[in-house]
Amino acid sequence: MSCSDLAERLELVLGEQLRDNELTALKAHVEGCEKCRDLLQACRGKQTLEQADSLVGEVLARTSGSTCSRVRSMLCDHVDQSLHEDNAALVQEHLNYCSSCTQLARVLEESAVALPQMASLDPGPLFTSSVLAATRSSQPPDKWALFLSHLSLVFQRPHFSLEAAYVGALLVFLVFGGAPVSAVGGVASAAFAGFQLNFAKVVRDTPAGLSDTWTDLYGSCENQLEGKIKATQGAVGRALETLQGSAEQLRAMSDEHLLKHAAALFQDATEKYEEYSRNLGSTEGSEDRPEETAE
Amino acid sequence: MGADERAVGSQLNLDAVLDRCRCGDELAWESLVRSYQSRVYGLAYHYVANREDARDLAQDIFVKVYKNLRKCPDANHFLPWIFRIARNASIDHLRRKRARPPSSQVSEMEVNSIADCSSDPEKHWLMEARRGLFRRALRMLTRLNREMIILKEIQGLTLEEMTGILDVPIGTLKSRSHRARLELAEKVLALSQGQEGAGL
Repeated sequence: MSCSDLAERLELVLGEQLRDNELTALKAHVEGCEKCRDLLQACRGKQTLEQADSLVGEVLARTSGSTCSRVRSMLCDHVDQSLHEDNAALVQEHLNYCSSCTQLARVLEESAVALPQMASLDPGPLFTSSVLAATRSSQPPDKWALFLSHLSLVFQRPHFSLEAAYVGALLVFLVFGGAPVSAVGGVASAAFAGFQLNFAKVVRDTPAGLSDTWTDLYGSCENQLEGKIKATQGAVGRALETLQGSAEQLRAMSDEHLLKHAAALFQDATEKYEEYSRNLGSTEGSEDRPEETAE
Repeated sequence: MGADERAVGSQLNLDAVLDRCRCGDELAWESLVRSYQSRVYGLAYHYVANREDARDLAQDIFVKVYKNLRKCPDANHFLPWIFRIARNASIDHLRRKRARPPSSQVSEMEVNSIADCSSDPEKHWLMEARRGLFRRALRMLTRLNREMIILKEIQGLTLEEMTGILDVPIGTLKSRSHRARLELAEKVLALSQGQEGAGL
């Protein structure tokens, strides 16, 4: 039997209506002819997985495109059994024929079991004792220790606001505490000059990229400090003027009061002297009179 | 809930253990360390991929936990809290180590899983080899996908708990979750096919 004979008798072959001698010839031909063998399997609906996969793949490629990417987007839900049953049935049907998606699904199923088992690992028998030894030496800090640590952070330098506060406090001390009032302007100017010098050094030592920022910052600080010093000088000057006026007024008041007091004392002394003189005169007269009487 | 937490739960409530730890009770602290050491060591190992480094790192993590016990939340949020500390410490460790790479890579087979204490050595070896394949595939993922797998699939955290640890919106985590699993499965498949091709 040849390939063309088989094609002519295909209906009889599928209907199993061949005679015995024809059937024997058919079997002999099919054993030697792969093409006719595939044709018979396809006609009988007995395609191999590869054949079916290939055929469906070709059809999908020429129509809607491959469905593997769509199936893979639902594969995790399918493995977790959280997919809607309609989609689950379609995905399962795809998996029945698509070997690559089936392998992927198997690995996903395996990972769902294997990964949680990897959560705990044995660190060894000495681990606990070494942790306890390490933590025994470092007791958890109490509230006072926490407060101290926060305080140390507050005073940790450099903090620009703190530096400014130091300079301000120094200025206030020099102006109102440690220097004579007459030297207010000089001390303030000296402190300001020192600040300018330090700032110039900081700007010089800073990398070029930050230099502009420092200069801007310095400019604004300089303006603010200048304003504060002028305001302080003005306030001190006004206070001095007021103090001087008050002193003069007090002195004038004191002079007037002293004069009045002195006049009163003088008048009092004069009166007392006159009285004393009068008393002295009368005493001398009375002492002479008996003697005169006795004579 | 893992085996470790079950051990704590069976003896003493975790909230009570934490309270006693905060008061300086050494026995409670020891119980807490024993309960969580394998999880913390496991997490550190998945980040640093080196047994010795992971052990040192896990010890440092517990010292940090001890020093910050006062900041520790309630029992429900304890695991995400300790994992956040562990994750930050692991990332810091990796950053420090990037400048000086390890001289030798420890074999995957040296790591002993607590979950598998099978008496059958052949079965144990095969399972451990398979886990080694997963670990190798895990290291081939992107950083976010790797952390997704470590925290969600391995350590079993929820997406809500993971947002606090990874500082990533929950929507991003949801969309990433399946993609990370799929990517891992593809890597495992490629590695196993490569091994079969090499006759291993």
